[in-house]
Amino acid sequence: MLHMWEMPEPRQLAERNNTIPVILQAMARPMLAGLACGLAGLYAAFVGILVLMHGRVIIVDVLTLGQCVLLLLGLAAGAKSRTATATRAILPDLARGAVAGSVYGAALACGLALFQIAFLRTVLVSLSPELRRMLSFGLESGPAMVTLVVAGGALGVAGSLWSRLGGEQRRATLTAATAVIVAGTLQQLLQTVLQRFSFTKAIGDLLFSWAGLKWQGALLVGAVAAVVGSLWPIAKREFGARQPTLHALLSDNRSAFQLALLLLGLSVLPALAGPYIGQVLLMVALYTLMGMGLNIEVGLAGLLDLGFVAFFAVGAYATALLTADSSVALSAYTSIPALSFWLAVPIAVALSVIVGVLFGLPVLGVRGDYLAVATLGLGEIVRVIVLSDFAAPILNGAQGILQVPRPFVGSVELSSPVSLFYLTLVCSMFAAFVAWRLQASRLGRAWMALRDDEEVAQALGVNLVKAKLLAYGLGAAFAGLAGAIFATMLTSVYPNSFNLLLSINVLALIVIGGIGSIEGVIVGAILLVGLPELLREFGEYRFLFYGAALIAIMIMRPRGLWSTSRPSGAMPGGLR
Amino acid sequence: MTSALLQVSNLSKSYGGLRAVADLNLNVLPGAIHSLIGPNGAGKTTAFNCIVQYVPPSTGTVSFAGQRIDGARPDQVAAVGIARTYQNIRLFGSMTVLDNVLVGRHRHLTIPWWSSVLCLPGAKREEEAAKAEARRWLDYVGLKSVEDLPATALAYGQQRRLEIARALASNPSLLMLDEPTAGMNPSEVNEMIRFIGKLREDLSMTIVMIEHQIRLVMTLSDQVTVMHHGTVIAEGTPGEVQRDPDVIAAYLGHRRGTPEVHSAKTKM
Repeated sequence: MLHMWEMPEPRQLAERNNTIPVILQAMARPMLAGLACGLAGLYAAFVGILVLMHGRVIIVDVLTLGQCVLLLLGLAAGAKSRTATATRAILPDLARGAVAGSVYGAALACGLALFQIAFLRTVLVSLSPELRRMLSFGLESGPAMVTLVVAGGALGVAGSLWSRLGGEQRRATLTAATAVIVAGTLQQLLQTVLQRFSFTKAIGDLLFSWAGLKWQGALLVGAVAAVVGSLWPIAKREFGARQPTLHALLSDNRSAFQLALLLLGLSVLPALAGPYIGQVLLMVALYTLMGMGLNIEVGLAGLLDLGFVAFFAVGAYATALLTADSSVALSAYTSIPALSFWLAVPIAVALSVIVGVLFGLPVLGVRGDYLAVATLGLGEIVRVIVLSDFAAPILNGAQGILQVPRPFVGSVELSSPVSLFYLTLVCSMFAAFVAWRLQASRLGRAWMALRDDEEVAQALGVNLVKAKLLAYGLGAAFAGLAGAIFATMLTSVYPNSFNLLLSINVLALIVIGGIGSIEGVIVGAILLVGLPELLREFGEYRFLFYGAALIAIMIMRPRGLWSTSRPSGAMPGGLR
Repeated sequence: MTSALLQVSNLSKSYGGLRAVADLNLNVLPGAIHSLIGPNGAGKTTAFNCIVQYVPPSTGTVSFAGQRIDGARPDQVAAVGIARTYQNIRLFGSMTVLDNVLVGRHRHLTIPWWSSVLCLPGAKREEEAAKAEARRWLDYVGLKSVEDLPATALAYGQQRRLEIARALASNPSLLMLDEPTAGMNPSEVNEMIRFIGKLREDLSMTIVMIEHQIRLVMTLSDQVTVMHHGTVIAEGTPGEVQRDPDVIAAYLGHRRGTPEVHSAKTKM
């Protein structure tokens, strides 16, 4: 990977061309670092996300999320201004930091200057008065621009000083900053949880006001995070020395324990945090379930499927048709009685599997990029059929099917998001279990062998048709199950819920979590589904966030956030 | 004459106007090491691919242990007991060394997928047995200590041996090696000669191989078939083939003034 600031060493440049003053060459890298951060800041400002972030308070009357982003970019410019091989003398370092920071500040100042050009306001709607206020600190343009450059320089110096710190100190400060930002951003969620019990309520009142973190709270959170962050490795070493057997047990089954902790957290949280978080987590669990299904296809068998939404739609429509109390449901015009959710689910799943196999048949011989395009088309076919006049007598076209009942356990209706969340959680855990068992089985190995080299796998006796159809069928089964839950969650189904974006969302969360990794599906779902739900006001930037996250992951961790222990994160055909 | 394990009759493969293999006849006796040699582009690998049905032959038949296999799917060919390696090593790069060999065991595993999911005792037993068997083969080729490494992390010679272990794990009755010494240095070639000799002694394995290393061919082969421009120009024991004037001409060209030999005519 090539960063913009990975320029040739200044010294090498000097040898090549002596006419350029050496001092300017030495500053090439800081200036580029500053420019890169400046452009990032301007981009955030011009698409409007910066102003939105400015609206989310981190520390009351001190700091907003938008300001945090600007500060961090300035620090990053300073931190990135050094080459790895440059001498560690302090003065040149500070000079480099100052230059990088000033360039960054200057870039923002240029952005401020754009406000003077009247016609740009009509083109770039995001050049709002709030943005101007934010960038100018309420000053006139001239002084504000000077302030930006000077403040940028100061930030750059701070950033370069930070980069001179030892590894442990850097980690501690980073942990502290992250903790404060996360605590501030998610203050509503944390507050709801903390307010529920009297003894945690005190902590909540100490840290938060209803607008954001109090400054005392921010200090406390930062300090605790820094201390815990820096003590953690020491504690781990101590623990390893005192309890060698237990330590070995924990580190051998590390991912299992991490997974268990993650699940424990997921299952306790909605009970503590109430219906809103329950709703958010329900979506996370639903996407996890779908992700588990798609992960079998994409991650294990290497079949890049962009028509995954079709199976989800089949599950949802089948459930709706079988259970709904409406004139378009099957019970209204056939002798089939309206089934309960529990009876309808197996039928819906079976139908999804059948569709999955039928879906797989025509694309058996298609690989990689071609498969992605072919499945894209197949997925669209399902949506078009649902919307068509031809199917309208049964599926009711764009009006969809209403009055789908909620599932009952005994006489208790699972109507709250939290109860539906637990249902979905159980289903996703079941899916995860199946995927986990299959991974290390004959079928899982056959899938992975087909993914790596179809021809060799066949020459070793793998039946291509059977293995691929099983992958489509099993993937479809979990998608169909998710569809059934989706129908009962909304108590209605509409064709517009089943568009290409859903397939892409599920694929994106798998890629971000780590292709082929079960834990990765959960992490991906939390990041791509849960986080955007919590940060509702950024809704319109959801896909900007997806894109940025995908690019960042592909550059920094191409195997995903929580990749498998498998050797290399082999990309399935189309994603190579 | 004992009946042949592998019998190839009049096998041809054409790509458009090009006849890559023309009327190939091959009888491989059980327990024999049969080498297929010839200059580059002679059609040896194409013949190999046609025999294992990796590419369908244009005409001709292939029988294995009395059973026709031409037109079968590659996995069906594997099921009758033919395993092969590749000229350019083709391992499953994202899988571990052990998993690679376990894929070789694939055709001997019968437990359905759902019983693995349900953790049924039968599935566990079969999986353990398969692992033990796979480890035995890894031990046999000397790779036991690296079973958890990714296949691509192995050195070149080790990858060759892993590919052979993977083929052996399927307990084939016929092993087909496509240039097992390609890209090897002289000492690695010596090691491979010893290894293939050991295969014959230990397992009385029937082997068909394509090889360029004349030393290996002459030391190990019971039968040698020489191909040139898609046709067989000579067949016999290593000694016979070595003295054949057509073979010498095909490899070295012929002296000016000597009459055209038949191999040169087939070029048209």
